[in-house]
Parts: sequence; C-alpha cells; structure tokens
Amino acid sequence: MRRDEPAWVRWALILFAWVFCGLFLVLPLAAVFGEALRDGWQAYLASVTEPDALAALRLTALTAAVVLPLNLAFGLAAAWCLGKFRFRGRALLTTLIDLPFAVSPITAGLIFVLLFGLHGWLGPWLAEREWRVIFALPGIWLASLFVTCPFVAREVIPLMQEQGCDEELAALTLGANGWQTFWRVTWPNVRWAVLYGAILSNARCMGEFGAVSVVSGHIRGLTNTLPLHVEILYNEYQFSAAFAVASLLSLLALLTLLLKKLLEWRLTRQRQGEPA
Amino acid sequence: MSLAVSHLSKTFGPHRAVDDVSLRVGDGELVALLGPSGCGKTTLLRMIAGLEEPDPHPAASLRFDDREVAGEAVGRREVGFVFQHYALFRQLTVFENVAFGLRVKPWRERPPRAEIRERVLELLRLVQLEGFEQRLPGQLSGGQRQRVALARALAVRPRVLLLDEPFGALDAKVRADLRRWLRRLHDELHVTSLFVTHDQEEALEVADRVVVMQRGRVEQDGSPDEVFHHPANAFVTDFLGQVNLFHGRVQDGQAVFGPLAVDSPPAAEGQAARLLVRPHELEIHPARVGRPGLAATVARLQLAGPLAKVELRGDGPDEIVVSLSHEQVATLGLRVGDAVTVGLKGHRVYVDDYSI
Ligand SMILES: Nc1ncnc2c1ncn2[C@@H]1O[C@H](COP(=O)(O)OP(=O)(O)OP(=O)(O)O)[C@@H](O)[C@H]1O
Ligand SMILES: [Mg+2]
Repeated sequence: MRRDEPAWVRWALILFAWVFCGLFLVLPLAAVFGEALRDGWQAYLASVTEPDALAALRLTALTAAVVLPLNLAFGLAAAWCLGKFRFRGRALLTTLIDLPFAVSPITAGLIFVLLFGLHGWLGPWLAEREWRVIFALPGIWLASLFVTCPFVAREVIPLMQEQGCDEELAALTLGANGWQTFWRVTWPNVRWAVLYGAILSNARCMGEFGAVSVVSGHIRGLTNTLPLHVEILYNEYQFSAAFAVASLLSLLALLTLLLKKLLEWRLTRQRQGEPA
Repeated sequence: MSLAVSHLSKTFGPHRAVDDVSLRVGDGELVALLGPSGCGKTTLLRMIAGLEEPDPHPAASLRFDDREVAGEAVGRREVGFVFQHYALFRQLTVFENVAFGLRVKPWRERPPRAEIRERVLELLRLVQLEGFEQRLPGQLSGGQRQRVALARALAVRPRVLLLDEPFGALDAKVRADLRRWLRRLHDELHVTSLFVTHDQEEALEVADRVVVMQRGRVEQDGSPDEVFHHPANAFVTDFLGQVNLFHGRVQDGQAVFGPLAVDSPPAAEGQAARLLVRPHELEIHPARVGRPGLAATVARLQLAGPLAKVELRGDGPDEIVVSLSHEQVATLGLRVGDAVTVGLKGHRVYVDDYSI
C-alpha cells in the first residue's frame, strides 16, 4: 500500500474510526450492562429469573431449536442445487433466496397474517381444524424461518460453486453411493461455512423482533420471545428489568461475534488449503 | 478387459460434441485420444465412465469385453478416472484419498483395515510417493497430485483406466518425465487404458495406438507410426506436427505448385490442390548450383536444439520451415540472406476440399 498521505491525516482517520466505534457501538453496549446492573446483582438476577422472563427465554431457545435444523436442511439443499447444477432460472432462484433480506420484517410478518390469520386465505380452513398459526408458536416459527433462511445458503453457495462437482464425480467413479459421497466428500468441504451460516442465522433468529412481533400476539408467558419481552418491560417503565433481559441478548451477540471470528479464521485457513 | 465403443454421440443443445464415434481399446492396450481443444475428448471419456448419458441411438453400444455396460451406474462399471484437474479430495490426506475407493465398498467386499493399509502403501510406492501419506493435496506439487490421482484410481483395480489430459496442467519438463513414467507403469500393470491429450508428441511417444479426433469425429485410428507417416487426411497431417503448406492446381494429371510438380491423386483438371511437407522432408541447395526447385532466401536460422531450423522466405505469404542437421547447415555454409533453392524429399498432396 502506498503511504503518501501525511501522518496527521492517517492519525485523524484512525482516531475518527475509534471515536465513532466507541460512541455508536461500545458506549451503548456498556450502557445496556450499566443500566441492567443499576439496581445491583440481586435485582438483575431477579429480573432474568422471573417466570415471564424465563418463559420468554425458553420460547426463544425453542424457536431457535426448531428453526435452526430446518435452516440447515434448506440451506444445504438450496446450496447443493444452486452450487452444483446448471439449469434454466438458476440466477433468478439465487436472487430469490435473498428476498427475506430485502423485505422489511414487518411486511414479512404481515404476509403470514394475510396467509394464516383468521380472515386470511387459509384462515377458515385452519379454523375448521382448530389449528392455530397466528398468535401461536407455529406463526413465530414461520416468521423466524422466513427472516433467517438465507444465511446458511448464502455462505455455502459461493463455496460450492468455487469447488465445482469434480470431487463428487471422482467419488462416484470410485464406487461411493450418494450418501457416502455427501458425508465423506461434500460435507467436509463445506462444514465450516455451514456452521458460520448457522451461527449468523441463530443470532438473527433469537434477536428477531419485527416479523415475530406481528404474528406473536404478545401473550405473556406463552408467545413472548426475549426481544418482545424487552419491549413489554420497557413500555411498562421497568427499565432495569428491560435492560437486564436486553443484556442477555447482548451477551448472545458478543458470543456470536467471538464464534464468527474463530470460524472466519478457520475458513481462511481452509481456502489456503491447510488442514481444516 | 477390452473396451469397445460403437456409434456414440452426444449433443448439447444444437451442438454435437461427439458425433458417431466408434473405437476399440484391446486388452492391456494403451490408446491415446488426440485432438484439438473442444473436439469432444472429455465428453467421450465421461460417457465411457458413465458420467454423461450418450444420445439414444439404436446402434449405440459400450462394451467391456462382451458385456454391455451402457445402462450401468457409474460405480458399477469399475473404471478408474483421472480427471483433467485431478479432483483430489482436498480435506483428506494422501493416504485417505488413495484408500477412498476401498473404504466405500459395501462391507461384504471391503478388505480389512490392515489390507487396505498395505494396498495403499504399495500404490504410493508404485507412484513414488512414499512418505507423503499424511500430506493434504494442497501441500503437493502438480506432478505429485497427478500421481496421487492415478494411485487413487488404481486402488480399486479398475478394469479400464481413463485418463483425461493427465499431464495437461504441468510444465514441459515434468510432463516429459511423467509420460515416460506412465508408459513404464503401464508396461508393468497392463491395465487397459485410454488417455486423452491434445499434445501430439505425448500421444506419439506413449501410446500403442493413436485415435485422432476433430469436431467430435474420429479422423484416423492407427499406430503412432501410421498416423505420423501415413496420415489419412490433411487435418491429421497438420495436427501431427509442423507442416509447410503450398497451394496449387491439378494440370495434366500432375499437381503443380509454382516450379514444383508432383504426381496428383485422381482429380479433375484445374482443381485446387494442397501440398503438405514436413520440415524434415525438404532439402536446401545453394542457388548457384542451379537445381530445380523453389527459389527462396534464408530469413532466420535457429541453431538451438538437436536439429537446426531454417526459415526461408519464398513467393508465398508464409515462411517455409526446413529442419536440417547441424552438419548440413555447416556444409552448406548458410547465412541469413543467402539465396537458395528448395527441393522435395517427401510430401503429401490433397485435392479434397479440406482447408487449413
Ligand atoms: N455440459 C456441457 N454443456 C454444453 N456444452 C458442452 C458441455 N460439455 C462440453 N460441451 C461442449 O462440447 C464440446 C466438447 O467439449 P469437451 O470438453 O469434450 O472438449 P475437449 O476435447 O475435452 O477439450 P479440451 O482439450 O479443451 O479439454 C465443446 O465445444 C464444449 O463447449
Ligand atoms: Mg477436456
């Protein structure tokens, strides 16, 4: 890199970057923990172990547990078909996978209400069978699935495209069946990328507010996820409780960042052909 | 195990990549499939391996000995395939790459661990890669990867070995070494092999038989000697080494190319004819001797290499290339700018409508 700008410009830019990060990223994060602990550890523990908070935590964990495997399956299948095959409409499909990122989460939630709500297209049919989707868990799962499904596919597609299918063909000529080919050849080649996508998708799933808020109905102890619970507490002026629960989400974010960094390091090593 | 391909074609959209190809590889034979880039070599090889479905045709067949394999799945055909770009399993060590074919066998046919280990080590010895067992493909050179790919294909004792430009991605020196090594290996193992190349030198040096392809069709099938000295047509002549091309016409049963006249194959009077002459089939005399022949001047002398190459400028637009021994150049005392006459020692005349 050429270093011909004066030193003071460089230092000013670096200083600016640090100040910006500090003001807009680190300070708010510190504030969250500060506020959460304002009334002391006792109050903090009480806020996060109170029954409604625990229920929200459980629901968030359950949602992640339901959505993540589906995401993995969808992501791998989509990446497999888009990364390894050439067919008409492939480019369109690749674009469509990104649709959930382009659509506002509120809109996504409304789509599900329109589809499955009491007055929606499938509403009467569902009502007849007493199946509830909106204002119930399936709605939350669907909305979470919708907003998180691109993550795994997006990580894996470029990798599979880059690697082509020669290795799979070689495995076939050596007598491997489809299952063996997948587990022995394809999977080891993409596993770190899959994990990377899964972590991002998990973070988004646990933190999702907009889409879930529309379909959940905010029933305390039943359909409240952690982010929704934070909002309720905040609206009820229970600030330190709200921040206490929010700090859980922040911890999740920090953990995600850490894992993401580790995986990025792994992935670069794999790209360079070292043991992964 | 012999391999017989009859009337195989493959069409991609409007494009015929392989057009009614038939060929045979005898038991234990090493046959080269030679042709320019894009002529359908890889496609043909992939059809034999079962990685590509041939166009349906009533006469199409693919036989290993007397068994029809056209309907069989890839894994059942027991072919070894060495890919143009190696296609090693990048996450597996060299050892595991070679062991792969043995490890994925159904448990009833799978050899015990110790036997697998022994076989892999034996193969690595064969391809001269002892001590590399624990390396990953990313930590090998191109030539080493190529040999791992070969060992991996050989591990399952294939009945037919298919090699797609095995040395395509390597530099000239390594290529030359490896192809000689491949020939020795083949003499040791005698596995029926078909190998693709677009390098005529490689094909002529290594193979028992050479099949020359162009635009999806077989142009000639014969021993290296035959295809080099008796090429079936102008394409094969041109493809199998450097040639000088002269344009002329048929007159009184002779093909006439300026001052040179040679016997013509039967053709109508006045038809266009082409004369193809390899550099070693031309002779040079100083102009003052007054021999009949093409008048030319020496444009360039290339004295590096086992033979000297003399580039001459005549009436035509292209340079005429003549190869001579260094002694001949010395005897003639050739210098750039000398006037000479060029005579024929050998040649081929074509009056078909093929054009180069
Ligand atoms: N999957 C495909 N779809 C469409 N066309 C194809 C496909 N595979 C090959 N072709 C075309 O078929 C022709 C023959 O291709 P092939 O790969 O067999 O050539 P090749 O002789 O192996 O060339 P090279 O020496 O460059 O490897 C080419 O014109 C190529 O563009
Ligand atoms: Mg090819």
